[in-house]
Amino acid sequence: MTKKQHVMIQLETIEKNFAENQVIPPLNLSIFEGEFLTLLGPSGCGKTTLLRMIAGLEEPSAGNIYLDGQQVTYLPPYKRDVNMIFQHYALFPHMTVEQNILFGLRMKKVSPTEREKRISQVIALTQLEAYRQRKPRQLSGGQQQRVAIARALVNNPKVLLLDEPLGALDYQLRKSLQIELKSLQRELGLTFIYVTHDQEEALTMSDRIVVMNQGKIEQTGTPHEIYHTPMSQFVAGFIGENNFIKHEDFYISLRPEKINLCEVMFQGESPPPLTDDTSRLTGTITDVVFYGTIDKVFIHLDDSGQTIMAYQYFDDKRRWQAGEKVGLWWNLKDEVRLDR
Amino acid sequence: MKTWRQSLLLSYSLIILAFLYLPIAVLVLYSFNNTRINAVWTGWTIQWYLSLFSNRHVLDAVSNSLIIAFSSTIISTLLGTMAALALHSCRFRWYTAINSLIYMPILIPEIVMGLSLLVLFAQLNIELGKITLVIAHITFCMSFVVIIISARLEGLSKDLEEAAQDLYANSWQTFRYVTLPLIMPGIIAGALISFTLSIDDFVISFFVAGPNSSTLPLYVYALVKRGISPEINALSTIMIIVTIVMVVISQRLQVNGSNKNNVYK
Repeated sequence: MTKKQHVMIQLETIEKNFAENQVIPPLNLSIFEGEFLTLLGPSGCGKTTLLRMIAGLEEPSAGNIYLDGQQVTYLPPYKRDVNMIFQHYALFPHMTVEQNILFGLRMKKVSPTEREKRISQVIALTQLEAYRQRKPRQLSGGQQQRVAIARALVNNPKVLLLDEPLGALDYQLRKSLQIELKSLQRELGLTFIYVTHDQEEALTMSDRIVVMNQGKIEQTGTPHEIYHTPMSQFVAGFIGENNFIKHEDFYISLRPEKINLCEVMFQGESPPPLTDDTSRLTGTITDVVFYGTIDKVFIHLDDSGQTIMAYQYFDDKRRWQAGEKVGLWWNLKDEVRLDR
Repeated sequence: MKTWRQSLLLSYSLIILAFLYLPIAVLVLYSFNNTRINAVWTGWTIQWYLSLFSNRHVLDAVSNSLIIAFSSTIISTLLGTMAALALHSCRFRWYTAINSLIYMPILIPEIVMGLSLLVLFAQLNIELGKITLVIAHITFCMSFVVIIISARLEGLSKDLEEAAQDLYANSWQTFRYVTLPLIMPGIIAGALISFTLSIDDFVISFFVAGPNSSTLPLYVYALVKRGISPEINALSTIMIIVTIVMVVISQRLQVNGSNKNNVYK
């Protein structure tokens, strides 16, 4: 990024306690204008609570929230220029699609001509022309999702908050809506804060990912950074598949796709000579499991007795079988050293 | 074997239905009987219905019943709705206790309710009449309203109210445009049940009615003491029909309403 980024949301030592439980210990985070930021973590990690505090549906126990430079910490949700897309859409069942979409503008007392202009824009954008007069229950899951998006976008919010918006949809639909959402965000240049526990979704859609665990931020970075240079064992294990090789006071985390398999003797040409930038081990294959484009090869290491998983690809010439002796090697730059 | 079992089951169900509805059927039938004596069937007539509508006492009782039913329905629906909303939104410490206290009037024997209300009104020197009847009817109608509306509120996902707030609706607007329309079927069902209960109530009314505030059931009871006449049958038939219609409508509303909402939970 060349120009200095404008901070859209600033969380300052935000903290949340429910009764005696500290759900979120003091936390700082800046979210920039126009970025697609994902809060990623297992359920119960506090990501939804954080989103709800930004929406105003939950009050922080301490700390400050700034929206576009303005203090909004204790502002009720209906006075904030952010809109949320709920996990189960929360469409009003007694209103038509059109009434649902117009609800926010009506509450804001936007003039009828302006309302009509904006609704036709979002309806075109979300391809809902044919469904304007339908009730939500007459729509499919994907269409309901679009109405929810239209209902939020029509208000021109400064930030769009999305709470696992694709969680209730089946796999194929989720895939196509992921792409739609991402291109929508890019087109509009709108700030998206997206909550999910699906790491694949986070990796494919986000500009930046915030990995959360037990209320704490484990790591913030681009999908590339999060995937390739995890800074904690949690991040390394939560995102993608990973091997952890235990050493005395540290771990080596090593992605299965970085591991090369070769004949155990290390003679011949295929494995490179052992140099300063490669590492090698030997082991016995315990299992080979078919996964479509890849097979997962489970290897019992000779020296430490740990099990490691590597891939063999569908077009690999050498087909490894359970019971075979195998050699493994990888480039040292591909391993990540993590403290215990 | 199978047909034998089925026919046994069928006849068993028919016996049960007969047990439940035969008395009512006989009553309805004899309201069209062309004689004063209940025991013999002599032919069809609607004269008992006609004489009913020209009987001043009956019309007085009907108008008393309607006035009391309408007033207690309106007041108990209003109070009950507010109570249900309050209980729903603030889950404070005494929630369970207050909730069961609201259910109590339904479980307490009616005769005890009636007696205790009578004692109370006597203590407070309130003259028995329409006012005391309305107050008494509110005590048990309101419990039903609270129960029915609470059930609807339970079925409402909190998301909807939050979504409204997120879309710039303040608390009042959220209630007005989202919560109220969604619990409306429950409110109407509660009102219909209240109306039915009030129209039909005998035991409690018996204790708290004044000399000039006889309701329809009380009037029927007074008539019966002088012997069962076909007019009573006719009157009862009308009451049964009104009750059935009301109950069916309120059931419909409750079922339909909850089906619609489940989709969005």
